[in-house]
Amino acid sequence: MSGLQMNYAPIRSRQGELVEAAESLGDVLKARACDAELNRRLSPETMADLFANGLLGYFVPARFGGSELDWGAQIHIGRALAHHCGSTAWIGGVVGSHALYIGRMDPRAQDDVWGAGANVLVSTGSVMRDVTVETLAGGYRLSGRWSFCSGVDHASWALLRASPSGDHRQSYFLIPRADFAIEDDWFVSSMSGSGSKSVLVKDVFIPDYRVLSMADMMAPSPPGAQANAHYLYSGSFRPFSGSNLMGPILGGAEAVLFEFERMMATGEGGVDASDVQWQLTYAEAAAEISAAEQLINLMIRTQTRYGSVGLPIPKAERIAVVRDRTYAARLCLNGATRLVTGLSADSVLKDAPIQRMFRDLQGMMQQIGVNWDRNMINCAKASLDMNTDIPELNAD
Amino acid sequence: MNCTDILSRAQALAVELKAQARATDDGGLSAEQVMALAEAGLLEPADPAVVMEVGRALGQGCGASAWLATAFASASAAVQRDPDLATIVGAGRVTLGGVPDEQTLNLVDGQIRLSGVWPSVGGLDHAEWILLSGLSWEGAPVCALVSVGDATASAYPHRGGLRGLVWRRVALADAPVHLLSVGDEGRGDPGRQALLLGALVGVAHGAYADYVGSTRARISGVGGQAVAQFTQVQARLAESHAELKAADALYDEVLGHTADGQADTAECDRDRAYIARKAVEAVNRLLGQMGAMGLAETNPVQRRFRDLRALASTPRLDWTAQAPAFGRHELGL
Repeated sequence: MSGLQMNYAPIRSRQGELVEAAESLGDVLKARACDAELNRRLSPETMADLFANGLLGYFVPARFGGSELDWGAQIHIGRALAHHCGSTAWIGGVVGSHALYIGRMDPRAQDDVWGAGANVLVSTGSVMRDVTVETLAGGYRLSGRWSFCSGVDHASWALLRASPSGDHRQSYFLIPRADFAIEDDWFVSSMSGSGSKSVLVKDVFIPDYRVLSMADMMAPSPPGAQANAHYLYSGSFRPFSGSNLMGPILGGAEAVLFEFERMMATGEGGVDASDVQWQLTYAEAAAEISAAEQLINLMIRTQTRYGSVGLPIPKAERIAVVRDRTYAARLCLNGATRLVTGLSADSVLKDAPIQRMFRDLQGMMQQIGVNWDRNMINCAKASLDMNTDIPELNAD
Repeated sequence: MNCTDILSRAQALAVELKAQARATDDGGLSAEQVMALAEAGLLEPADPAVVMEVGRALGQGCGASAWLATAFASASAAVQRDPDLATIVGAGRVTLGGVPDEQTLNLVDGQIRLSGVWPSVGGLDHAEWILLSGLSWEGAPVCALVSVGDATASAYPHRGGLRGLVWRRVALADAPVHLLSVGDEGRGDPGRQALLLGALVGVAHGAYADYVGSTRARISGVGGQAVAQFTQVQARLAESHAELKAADALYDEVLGHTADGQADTAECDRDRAYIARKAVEAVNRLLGQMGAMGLAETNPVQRRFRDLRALASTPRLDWTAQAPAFGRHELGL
């Protein structure tokens, strides 16, 4: 056995275990999905299951008891969870991955978050309103309101973006639960169980070591690198950002496909398996979702191939990452839309799981990370060496 | 009351219903709202074209009201075709039931009785009778009129469209029913599903108007720019507007055929479904431009999109079903 294989075998094995654990929770998560939607948050039991199975600790540094897995783990886990509940997938595959950001911050901030244990959820907020940042000796005073903080009911910390300089240069501010309030404003038609409520902060002092500029967060050798050697904490992070959504999106589309297969077998929803048009619909949707899977796997391979050895991803491949993930997301939505469009009115109106699965997928597609117009326009600009709104596309 | 009066009243009421639409979505249509619809004469029209136009006017304000007016008026008209049933129903309101999960019709002691489960019936709180479809008796398609009092209705979690109708699961256990033969316009419901096209077009236009109003004032959450200044936003708006305009043109043609009693054709079926498809695509594109704010239930475009999808899933408006049907017709099959 080569040294390379010896190094990587345990990592692969742990990721496989976690994906298996995510799938094994399927029946439980499916049974709770409706309540999660109605309660507009995941249940404490679901959070306990995620923590107990390590499904939120894959990017927690090993020195705190986390799994410290390679890039892509969050996408595979998010995909597996989405087969059963879109909101759980969002918390598991997207919010859970934010541990990476903490692992890149000052080691004292990491101690604050994980010193008492690795089972900690950090909710993030980037869409802000009425934010003020005052620079003080040894830290900052922060006030404002941040929207779309997924899983915040279960979070012990919030990682919020704001600009100390008042311009576009933003920083991350890490704030303990005691220092922020939650505004119950999450009344949505999809991804309701993600509990993405707003966070209110009023005149809170944040020490310097719990603040990190976005530029430093994204650059190689951030403060956390002195404690965590893994490339995800020590290398450039720009090429990785914006891709976490793909696990829940792919899994969400597959959930619709799997449910449709079940309906074909039972004849529910007016689906007639012997009808050629349904057969064509099914085959085309399956092909679209399968193509999306291949594009997402290619994206992960590209990001990991360069990131794991500390090499910058060439510009052409960075463009391809953004373009292909956006196209993969569109394929997922197109495939799922194709499947649900012809279902009988009862499937739209009654409490059939497929309608929630589809609504959740539509909600995920509203995220800016997979916004077709924004990403495609910027990819075109980058290809023509024009300046873009997506930082990772601008550098050579 | 002539047709112009009725439509004027529908348009006026739509303004009020629009202002109440969020509360209607949360708590269901109120008795006062349904009373207002009735007092305006909007639950009575028997003329299919007028029913469509009332639905279109109301849909610009509130999808649930438009559905209810269309369903109640068309169910009532179907019942009125049979003098005996008209006497039984009297002044009672009739709502429409969809396709059953399971059902059996039996003759017991000279009385026809029905058992089964209808997974989603809308507007039940405001009706005394339900007209249930998808049945056959002695080899012929029929509808069954059943008293709401003989049905067991249960609520279920519903997060999809037309929530103001408070959808219920209806179960019947040997309930006495009166049968109504399905007329020549009937496929499924008593031939009146197609009239929901008016409500659908109205909802789509309401969504467009709400989107334009919102986007004129919207500032980007990230970057702080006026969203209306983005070229792609302008281009997507134009594409959706063009689709709705094309849908309107087809709608006018279908409406004309409906008024002439010539709308039960393969071509009209195709056009109705194509209008529904274009309307959904147009509004879906607009919603996609709204980013995460498009998720919020307080966002009227989100509510209207949900309503639109629910309306477009009506079998007579479903492109997946109607497109091959037209193809078969053209190919002489």
